[in-house]
Amino acid sequence: MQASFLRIEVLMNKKKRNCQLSAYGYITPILLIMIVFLGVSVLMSVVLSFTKYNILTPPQFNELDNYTRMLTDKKFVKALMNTLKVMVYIVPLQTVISLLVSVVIASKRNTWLGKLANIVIFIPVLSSNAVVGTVWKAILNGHIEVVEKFFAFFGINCSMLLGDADSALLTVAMVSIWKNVGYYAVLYISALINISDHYYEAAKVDGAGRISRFFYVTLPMLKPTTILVVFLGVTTSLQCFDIIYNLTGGGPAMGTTTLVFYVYDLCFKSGRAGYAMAVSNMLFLLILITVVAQRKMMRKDASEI
Amino acid sequence: MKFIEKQIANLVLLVVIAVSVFPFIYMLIMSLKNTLSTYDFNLNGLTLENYVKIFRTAEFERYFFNSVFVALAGVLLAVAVSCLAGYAFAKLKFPGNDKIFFALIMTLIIPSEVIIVPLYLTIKNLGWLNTYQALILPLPTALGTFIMRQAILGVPDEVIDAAKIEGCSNLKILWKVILPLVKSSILTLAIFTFVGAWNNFLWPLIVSTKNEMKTLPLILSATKTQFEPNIGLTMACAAVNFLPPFIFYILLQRKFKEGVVLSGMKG
Amino acid sequence: MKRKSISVILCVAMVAGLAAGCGSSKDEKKDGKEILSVWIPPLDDETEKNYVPLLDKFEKENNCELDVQIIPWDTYEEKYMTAINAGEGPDVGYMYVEMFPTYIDSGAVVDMEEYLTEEDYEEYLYLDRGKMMGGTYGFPFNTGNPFIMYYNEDILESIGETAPETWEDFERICKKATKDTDGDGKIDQYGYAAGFNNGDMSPLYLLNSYYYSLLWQNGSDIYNDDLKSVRFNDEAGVEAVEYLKSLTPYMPEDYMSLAATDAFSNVFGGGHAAFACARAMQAQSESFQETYPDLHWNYVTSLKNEQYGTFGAADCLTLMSACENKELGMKLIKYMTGTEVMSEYHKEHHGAPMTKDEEYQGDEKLERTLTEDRDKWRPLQAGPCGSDILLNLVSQIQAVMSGDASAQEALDEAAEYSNDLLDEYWADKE
Repeated sequence: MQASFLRIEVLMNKKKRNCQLSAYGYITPILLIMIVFLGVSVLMSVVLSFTKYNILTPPQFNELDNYTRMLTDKKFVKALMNTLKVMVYIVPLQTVISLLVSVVIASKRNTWLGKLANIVIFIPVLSSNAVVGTVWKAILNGHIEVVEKFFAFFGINCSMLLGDADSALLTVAMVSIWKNVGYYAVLYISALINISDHYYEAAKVDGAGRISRFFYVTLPMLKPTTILVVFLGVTTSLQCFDIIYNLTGGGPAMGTTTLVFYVYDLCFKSGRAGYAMAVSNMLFLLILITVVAQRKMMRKDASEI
Repeated sequence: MKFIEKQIANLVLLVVIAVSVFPFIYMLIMSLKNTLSTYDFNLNGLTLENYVKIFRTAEFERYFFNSVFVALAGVLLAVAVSCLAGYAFAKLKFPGNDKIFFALIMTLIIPSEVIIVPLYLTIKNLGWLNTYQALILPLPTALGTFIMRQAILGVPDEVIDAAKIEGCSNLKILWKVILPLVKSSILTLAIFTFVGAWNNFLWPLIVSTKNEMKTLPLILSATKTQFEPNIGLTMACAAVNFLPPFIFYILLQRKFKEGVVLSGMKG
Repeated sequence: MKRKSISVILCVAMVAGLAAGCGSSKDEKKDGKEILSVWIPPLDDETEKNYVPLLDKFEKENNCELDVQIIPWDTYEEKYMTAINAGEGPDVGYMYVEMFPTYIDSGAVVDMEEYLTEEDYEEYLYLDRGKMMGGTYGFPFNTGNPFIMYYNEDILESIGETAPETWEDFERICKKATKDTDGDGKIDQYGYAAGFNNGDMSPLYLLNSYYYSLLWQNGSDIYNDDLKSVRFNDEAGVEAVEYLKSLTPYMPEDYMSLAATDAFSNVFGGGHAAFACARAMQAQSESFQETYPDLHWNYVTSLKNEQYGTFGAADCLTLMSACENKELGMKLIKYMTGTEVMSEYHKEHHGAPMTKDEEYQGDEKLERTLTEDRDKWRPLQAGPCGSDILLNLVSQIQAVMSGDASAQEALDEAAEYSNDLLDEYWADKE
């Protein structure tokens, strides 16, 4: 009795171990790439964050100077606030818009209009920063009458949008949504196409209307994609850089300077790479804390991200 | 009622199309002009001069090839490693599954602008400056693993169990059963990787100091002078740079539908 | 299916093979020839074709090989920093004044004084402008292109004015020019086409265009002479910014969101403003004339308050410490800037002559900036923490211009920030 029980356990262990080994084999390639290229780099940047370093000369250890400096750095606080604001502006709106647009496109994907929309929605994603910057500056500086009238209808003078620190940040966020919706729509559309009609037919049989089918079939089926989209939205909006660089250059009066923008300036323009690394590590730490806390709170869903 | 719904849907599509397509049109029109004014829309005197200038660049084909090669190799690599890892994280049980995946995903937070200096040092110490591997190997990101894992999570366990009973190995299950079911996610990942690789600018600039290793965007940027960039030339460069990934997108995106037909998965 | 899998594997293998094959090629002297690497930014839109071939003769005469790389403007400093850090930098580089301090401090560039002879000082016109932080680290290569005050002749004539000389003239004309010309109740002609959005240009461009000139004309400067503290918040400095602020009613209403380059090109070029400040070469470029054929412009090099003054960059070639054969490097720098190469290059791409022997080939109207007005413009003082101080100053000036802060407050804050940096810098030195 005892012996056979043991044997079963051994067998199970063996099976489990097999399984483990192959799984590690599967994840090795990506882990190797990540460790060699990112892991090492992050470690180096952590070490460098405790030094005075201008990239050109060897770093000099300066203890916690960089971190204490951050506490009194008004620019850091300002950039941090801007970064958080950008994220709040972007993520919810972007997720909702890309979801709705995708649903419409997917449902109409057999009409020529749907096909066309499906193709052109990716144009903003592919447009180079030079194009985005030039086009939007031309539009926002109010020389295209239709757009000017459209904004005027809401009582907004669109030529002022980039000139004021608060509205400039919001404007940059909106342009960023415009540019990235296509990216997330591609994710949604590919997921939507994979939802079997079966589910919809079943729901129809149950007498569900279009809207309740959306809420009870589509939305739950898209949950993994939505998690992906929100997570990517958060990480990319926190790193918002290119659009700012081309539209406002971080101005006016630091109104659109985000942390990554600030770090970049520190690193390559001011020759204070050590401090730049410290600031970026702080950003990393902040996100990590947020995500871990969120994971702890939503224990059940933990496996989904 | 149904009619109204239909019209609203059409209206949404029209708005989407209009909003997406205008920079494209702007880019095309401007690229045919020689002008400094960003609002100069008059259509007289259109010329192909800017394109001629670009294609006349010495060894244009070489840079074009570099870009295409790097992007395609990056796509293959990213799809391969992401499918493997995504499958492991989604369907295999092993100690540390959650934790490793979480750590992997967290790498997405790292702004590439910040680690570019340390990354450069790593590549240099490997002796990989001016090589293709320096351009290609860092391309896969955790994003691919994330996408593939989310997709494979949606594959019902029963399908996999059935294949297991038939005696398929894990690798065979992945190849024969799972990948056909998540084809559209693979296509998505391929598109994203291609676009990311194609538009990569700072990294290829830094790791390549020899002309023969430069990619197309680098060469195109060498036409931009410091102060009075010719909008026409800038836009022509943008258009040349825009087309290959756009074509890649259209080609792959058309396959989305086929993916469903192939998978033939019902419920 | 199987065939497909094999083909994929083959592909991957091929990629790996190719990648490995292309690795490990080091700079080696080809048949005993020395290789000099030179990094320059795009000088025009086809530098590779227009400028680089002019150096062929140097290769032959000196039995060496030149590896000329065109580094894009967008990421210019990033490329320099990472490469020099890894010992992969150039032998001869092109730098602008704002770049220098960091490189001087870290010993990456060479003081070229010992390689310069008296004849060189006679031959090369701008050598004095390459002196900074106690050495000749720069060899001016691209200068003579100051920011000048353009005016629209038609507009000035229509309001019965002539070219301005002083700040009072300027303000008066601006005021008169700002009006509604087509009677729809909206102002459509402005005094001063200025825009305080730097867009995809460096923020420092705003200082180049609008600020240094006023600061210098009022007799102040960025640093005190010892470079140990800043002085831009002294009385004259504050007054200069206040004057700039007082001009805002005569600028386009969207001056805060308008990009500086668009202000010159679209607003002034389009004939909607009496004045605009931009580089001298800007209006003489072919594309500008093509875009705005109806514009009748003229210019004054500098206005005058206490004195004359406006900003003219002096972009330099510099000898990097990493260069093994410094004599040859120096020879190359002199050759690149010299009469032979430059007069050929300037035929198509106008620019100021760098040497005594080179003839001016540009627009006649603009020659004045290089002759009688030559002393009215100058490059920036190179000083420690330069980029940091100036970037901070730009954002403070933007705050003043948008009305969020008074000139005194903003400049004091900027000065405090700068002086803290400088104190730290000099403390480190000791």
